Amino acid sequence: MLEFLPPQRSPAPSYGLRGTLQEGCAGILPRSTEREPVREVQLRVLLANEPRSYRESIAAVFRQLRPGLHVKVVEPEALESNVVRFVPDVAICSRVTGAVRERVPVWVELYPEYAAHSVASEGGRRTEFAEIQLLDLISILDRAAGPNQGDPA
Amino acid sequence: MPNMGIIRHVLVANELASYRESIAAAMRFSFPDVEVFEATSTDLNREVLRLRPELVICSRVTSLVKERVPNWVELYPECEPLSTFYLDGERSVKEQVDLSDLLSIVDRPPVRTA
Repeated sequence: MLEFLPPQRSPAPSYGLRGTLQEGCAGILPRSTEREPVREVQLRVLLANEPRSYRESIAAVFRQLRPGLHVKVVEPEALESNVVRFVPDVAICSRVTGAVRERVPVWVELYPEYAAHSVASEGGRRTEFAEIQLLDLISILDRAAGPNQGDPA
Repeated sequence: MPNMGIIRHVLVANELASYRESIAAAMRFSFPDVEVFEATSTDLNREVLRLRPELVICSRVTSLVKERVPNWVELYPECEPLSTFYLDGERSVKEQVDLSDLLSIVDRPPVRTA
């Protein structure tokens, strides 16, 4: 059951998080003990896989389980333009493009051509999945966020 | 004909694991009082007999589902964009199904019978 996913506290590597800095939000990053504004880096996740209801379902789960993420859902045709504009840290799509390979540190090619296999690239390290699970996707997000990030609030 | 009414048990059995799991999870978050089960396509008929769900979501509807389940969705059969909804005796076909289309099935008011 996904509700019982453990909080992510392993010292996993982070892959070049490039999110915006915000102040005063409940923390993905641990709060400072000093009286400084809390600075938070929000992992940016772009979802552009087919078909729509599956894309939306995955986004809904990400938002529920990892509320600190900035999740954007777009049609596959808008993938490349959003790679440039949104500057995602993680992209999930049905067919990876050159722009995704070049610009996105972590990406998942999810069920290309509706086949069961998927490919993930995390900082250039590729992993192939015979049939990827939702938990695998969550783990990829958590690794991309790095240690102490990705915890439910 | 099975009972038409409130949906309390949903069986999600569409293909590709992460898609099945994400739809099931979204349903659990949205409807904590509804029991949501997951099954592979291979186990679909067995789980229909065992769980008697009021709603099935699957990639290829079976004869048993048509006979026993009052509401079903054949979601992207053969990876085609058209999906079929069968809700309390009414069939409709939809292209580009949204998550809200699936959630609204559980959320709709029960059909009143005379």
